[in-house]
Amino acid sequence: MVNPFKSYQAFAPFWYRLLICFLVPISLLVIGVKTFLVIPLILLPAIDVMADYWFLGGIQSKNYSGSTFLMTSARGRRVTQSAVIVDLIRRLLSILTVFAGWSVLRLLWVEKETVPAEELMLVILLCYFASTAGTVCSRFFGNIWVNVLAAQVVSNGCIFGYMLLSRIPAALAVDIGLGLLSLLVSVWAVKLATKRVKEGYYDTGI
Amino acid sequence: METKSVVKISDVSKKFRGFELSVPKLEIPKGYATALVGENGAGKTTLLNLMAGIRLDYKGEIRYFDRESKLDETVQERLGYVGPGCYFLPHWTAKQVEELSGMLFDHFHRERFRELCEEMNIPTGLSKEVKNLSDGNKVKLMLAAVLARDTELLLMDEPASPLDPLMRDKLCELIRDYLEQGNGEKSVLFSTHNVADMENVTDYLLIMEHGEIVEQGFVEDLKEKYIMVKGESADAERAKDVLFSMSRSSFGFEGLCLAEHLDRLAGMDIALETPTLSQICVAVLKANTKLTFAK
Repeated sequence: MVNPFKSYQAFAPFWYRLLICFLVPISLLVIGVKTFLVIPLILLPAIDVMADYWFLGGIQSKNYSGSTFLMTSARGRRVTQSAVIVDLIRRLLSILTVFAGWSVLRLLWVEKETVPAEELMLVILLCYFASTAGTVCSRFFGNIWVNVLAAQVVSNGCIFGYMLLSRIPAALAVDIGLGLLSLLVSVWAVKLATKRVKEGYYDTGI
Repeated sequence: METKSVVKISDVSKKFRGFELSVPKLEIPKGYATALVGENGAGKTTLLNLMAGIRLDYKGEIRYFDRESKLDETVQERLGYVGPGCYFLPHWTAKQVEELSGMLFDHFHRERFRELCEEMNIPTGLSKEVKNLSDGNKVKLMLAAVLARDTELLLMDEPASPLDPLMRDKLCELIRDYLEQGNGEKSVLFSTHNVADMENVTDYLLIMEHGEIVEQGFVEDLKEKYIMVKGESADAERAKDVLFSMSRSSFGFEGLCLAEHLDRLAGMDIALETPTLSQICVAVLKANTKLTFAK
């Protein structure tokens, strides 16, 4: 029986889990409350993309090191799949913690008012989509500098995306569109990661 | 000697650019340690990968164990594989290897794994990352992970190459222990370039060249099949055609001869010796190689 959380633990080093699951979301929540919403919007996906190098960096590349051990077991693919799914859930929870937490804290202690729900949803979905798309793209390379570059692109993309999309009057339609894109990129993330383990058995690469 | 086989290979072929592995028929004897020897690029790793089930794109058939099953989840549980290079993720620690092994395989014993890590002196216990381990210690960690499972066939791709002489001796001991615990039910197949170091643990020998098995047999049988011949320089030219391979010096010549051809050396002043496994391998490889040697 494959335990999804143990699968995730197996791929994610302890310091990575500590940083990504606790320190980063809590720090960004505090920073966000003290400053502006856009600060965590820039930093959270960028940190996620950069740190992914130590989680599944290069898993979609042809010469992914580490898959041999997984390939010796019939459960190797399921373990990889579980780890990727748990990471996607963790990513969404981190984003929700930071932005929903930001909204609640601002409402309670700082301004007694918060941003409209549609705008908050836009930030959450944009952040999730950019962070997931960035990690999926960087996983084709097992190179930290590619992750750094992808992080830069993702943080810039988030800012431009926010500026552009928040001006569109049909906010709900934008949120639904982003939600669908986020779903697509999540499925893509799971498929590509497990495909590499599967295709390791054959000569053909991705 | 009548033996059962643990792996049966029929008409297996695998093509790469400029290379073809072709094994029409091969049976790995059950209950023994089999050494797979060959030049670099002879196809040893490919053959082991096919048997371990980590390469599936080949033609032919490989069947495992008594019921001659094809590779499936049950067979994979009973197979242990130790491979070269990038076997684990670089950031994994021994602790993570333990966690994953427990998840990937039903019969993995954590206590045994920890004992083996201690026994093989894997540095800093369970906290050091794989990327910070030396090549030798990486192999030790792979061995600990695979030996902590209940398997019936160990496939090892050059396990001895990165190990120091003491650890090679330990590896031989571990292989012997594994076979003894199995009471004839467990088998080992390993590829090696260190034939001399692994000789005391080798029961059966496979020699590969250019993707084909060119010689195989139990060590005792091979040592009866071939004889080491040493003679005077004056006889070297006459002996050359009879010997399997020959090396000359100012003192004389020496080379390996098929026992059945010994009578062709009649009349020469020669001394006969039982060859070592290493001498048999070198002679057979020399007879089949594309490398050029000084005549």
